[in-house]
Amino acid sequence: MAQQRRAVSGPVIGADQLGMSVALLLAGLVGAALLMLFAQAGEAEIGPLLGSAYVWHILRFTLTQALLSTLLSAAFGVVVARAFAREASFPGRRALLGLMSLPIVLPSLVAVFGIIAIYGQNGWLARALAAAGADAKPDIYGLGGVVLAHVFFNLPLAVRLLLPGWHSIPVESWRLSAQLGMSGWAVFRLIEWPMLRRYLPHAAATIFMLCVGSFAIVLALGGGPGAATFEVAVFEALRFEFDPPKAAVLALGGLALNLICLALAQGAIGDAAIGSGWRMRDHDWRQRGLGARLLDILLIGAAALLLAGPVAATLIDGLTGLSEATLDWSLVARAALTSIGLAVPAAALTLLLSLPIVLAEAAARAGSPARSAILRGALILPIAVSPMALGLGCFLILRPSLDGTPRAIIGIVLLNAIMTVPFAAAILRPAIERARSRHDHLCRALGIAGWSRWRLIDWPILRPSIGTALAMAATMALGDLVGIGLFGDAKIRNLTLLLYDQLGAYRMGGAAAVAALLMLLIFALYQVIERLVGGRAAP
Amino acid sequence: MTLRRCALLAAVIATSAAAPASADVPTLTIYTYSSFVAEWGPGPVLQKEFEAGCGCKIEWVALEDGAALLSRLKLEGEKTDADIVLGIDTNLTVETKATGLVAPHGVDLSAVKLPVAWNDADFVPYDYGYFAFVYDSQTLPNPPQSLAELASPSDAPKLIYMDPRTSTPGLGLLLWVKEVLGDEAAGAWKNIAKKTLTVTKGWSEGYGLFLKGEAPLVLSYTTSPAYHQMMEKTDRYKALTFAEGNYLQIEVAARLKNSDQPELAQKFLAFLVSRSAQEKIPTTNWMYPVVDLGDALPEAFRKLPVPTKTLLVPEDKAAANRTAWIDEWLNSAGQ
Repeated sequence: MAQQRRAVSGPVIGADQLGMSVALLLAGLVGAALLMLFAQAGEAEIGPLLGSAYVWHILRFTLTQALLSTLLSAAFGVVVARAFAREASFPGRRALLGLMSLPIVLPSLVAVFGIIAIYGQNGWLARALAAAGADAKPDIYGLGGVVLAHVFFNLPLAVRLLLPGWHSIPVESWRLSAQLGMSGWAVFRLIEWPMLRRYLPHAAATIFMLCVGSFAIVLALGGGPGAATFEVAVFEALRFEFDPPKAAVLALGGLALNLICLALAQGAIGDAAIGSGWRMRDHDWRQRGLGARLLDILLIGAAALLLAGPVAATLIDGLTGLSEATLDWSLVARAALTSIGLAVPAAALTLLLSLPIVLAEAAARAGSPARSAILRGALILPIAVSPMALGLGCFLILRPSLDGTPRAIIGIVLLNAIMTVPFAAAILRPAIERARSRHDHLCRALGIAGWSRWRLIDWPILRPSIGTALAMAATMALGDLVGIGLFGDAKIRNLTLLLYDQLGAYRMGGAAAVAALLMLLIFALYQVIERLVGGRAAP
Repeated sequence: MTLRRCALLAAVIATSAAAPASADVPTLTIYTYSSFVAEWGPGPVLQKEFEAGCGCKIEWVALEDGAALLSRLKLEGEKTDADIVLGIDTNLTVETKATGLVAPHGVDLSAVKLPVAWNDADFVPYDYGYFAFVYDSQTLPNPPQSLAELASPSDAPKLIYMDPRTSTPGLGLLLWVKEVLGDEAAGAWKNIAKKTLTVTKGWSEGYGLFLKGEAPLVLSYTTSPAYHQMMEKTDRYKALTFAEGNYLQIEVAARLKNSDQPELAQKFLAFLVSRSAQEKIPTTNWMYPVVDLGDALPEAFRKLPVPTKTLLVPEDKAAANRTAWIDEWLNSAGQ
């Protein structure tokens, strides 16, 4: 009996306890960070603050833009992911999916300038329209621009998060649907929708939370002070007013909004059992009609265009910038090395934090929903909390025991590791679910558990996802500016800061060149880590 | 394997970051803003010159901007490591002093020449500039000549400015409008909102958008064209002096009460206003020096338009009214 329970409890001995401990540690860190803000002296009265017209206005705008951005990103995400699932083997598919992981890890400043280069008053689109003799000019400043930028960031994320859903549908289901001659609508309703009810709420909630926490994009493209999110108010409270408790209250306001959204998402998650077919080969879709294939190609092409535009513009502007400006290459090399040197340990720490929790969560899902909810909550918490408040809290936690360069290195690594946990978890979860649904019965039957199960069964299956999770965490940390700016050690200057410093010193050409380099470095590091850690099968 | 790689990289970072510090040399810790210590900023040249004569070592802590400096001081209080804080502007000196952390500078400022009289016992000015709208002369042949014209009811020309909640120039514009237009500020903001392309978080994003050609008019400094003339050899971008006057920004430094290097800190502050240090300021920080350099001031600076009138809201008045004025701006420009 005891033997049997141990075998069921999870892939590694004590994995449940380990996962729960790490989850509590993570949640404790985030909670402590906010508490540290409350412990500071502040002046604002909390009651009037929450009732003020300003806060309600901010709440309204935050909600409007976040809902719109989420709706559009998720809706397009579904149709584009569906197209990718069906067009499983066209040339360039892998590169395109690789490109899909780029926007979400791009520093927002780079993305804003990339988007402006296409859709701005003096962008490619405006110039093309002018050349065609049209009188109209694109106007992206305002709610439209904010939503456009957020779709640029989050549509690819939605595709990345939803695509594993399609891969989780057993090939038998597709065969059956074909044998029964089901219509496209019936296939969607009976096979894809139940799958989406599992995958879509989380993807949508993640996107929603990212949009709630958006800041520089909202200000740059918002077109005026009416466009402001909670994060703007948090920044204001921490900067000119320096009222940490007020910032903490505002951060909690944003957190409450996110928790409501998460609760809704949790409620929307269907219980449809995911198929556990043995042969999980992807279905062969090549037999479809020409119309269906054309539509898929059109959708993929549109998504690629949306993405490739700003990316190409950033690269071209970078090249132009390079010809105009003289870059100190030793400076660039050092900054690049600093970026990588901070990002890779941060990614490793992200994995150490997220993997045990995701494993424990997968094990707990069947037996104890409460445990599962706690673990899930810990995984999502870092994006639900204001990055600025979290950062300052981390600074305050580390301050008494560390100083100087060690504090800055540890602080930046820790902050970035915490902030990327939700993304790593989102990548790891489907793979772990899949591994469990495929092999739990077999492992139980054969009595394979603990380390040997991990080594023989789980690692080979999870390896590609671990590679992808590490790659994403590392590239996100590569663009860090919050941590670097907060700890402020003048000797630790990464590429993002170099970009910002150039922009802050009229050096537009140099800034453009560094932006392009940063983007190339992000792309290269992503590919290297994904292939090195994930092996050939990735993604 | 990943772990070993990480350790290796961490080691690389640690060794490349930690400069060889010899234990006996006293260290002067200076908190400043990031662009001051950028390789092309004033920080590195001033450091080299000062370290050569002081037998000491400067440690920079570089934060985002002047407001971030003040926040950090408030956060750390008496326990701060800073000996000097450098990069606060005149709108924040009252609050900086209110922390009770600032010590009188004791530096002879008789050579200092500013557009306004300076007799502050705590803060040493090291550069100054006037906020101004900079325009692109290729796309905007007839720019507005006064704040009143800028705030006139029309929707052209489009302009970019910075958010007073998040940036120093943004706050400067807010005070500028209030100082000139007083009770009419709310109406002015309503009109300005019609021609506002966007309001950015900081100067960098706003000026960047301007250089990308997104709008022909941007909030910046009268000294901005000097950069384009000296470094890019172009007269395309010009600064506007307004009929009502332009708002002054003076950047200051101060030493801190709890510093363990008070003499060294004082020595640095005195060095900061020395002719030798001041000669570096114009072409590294692109602001005016606080001493008269005569012919040593680059020609591009000497040819810049000088405002006929200098505006500056008294620091205590600015500090006391900032929240109310920001609310007024939000209510007029934001809805």
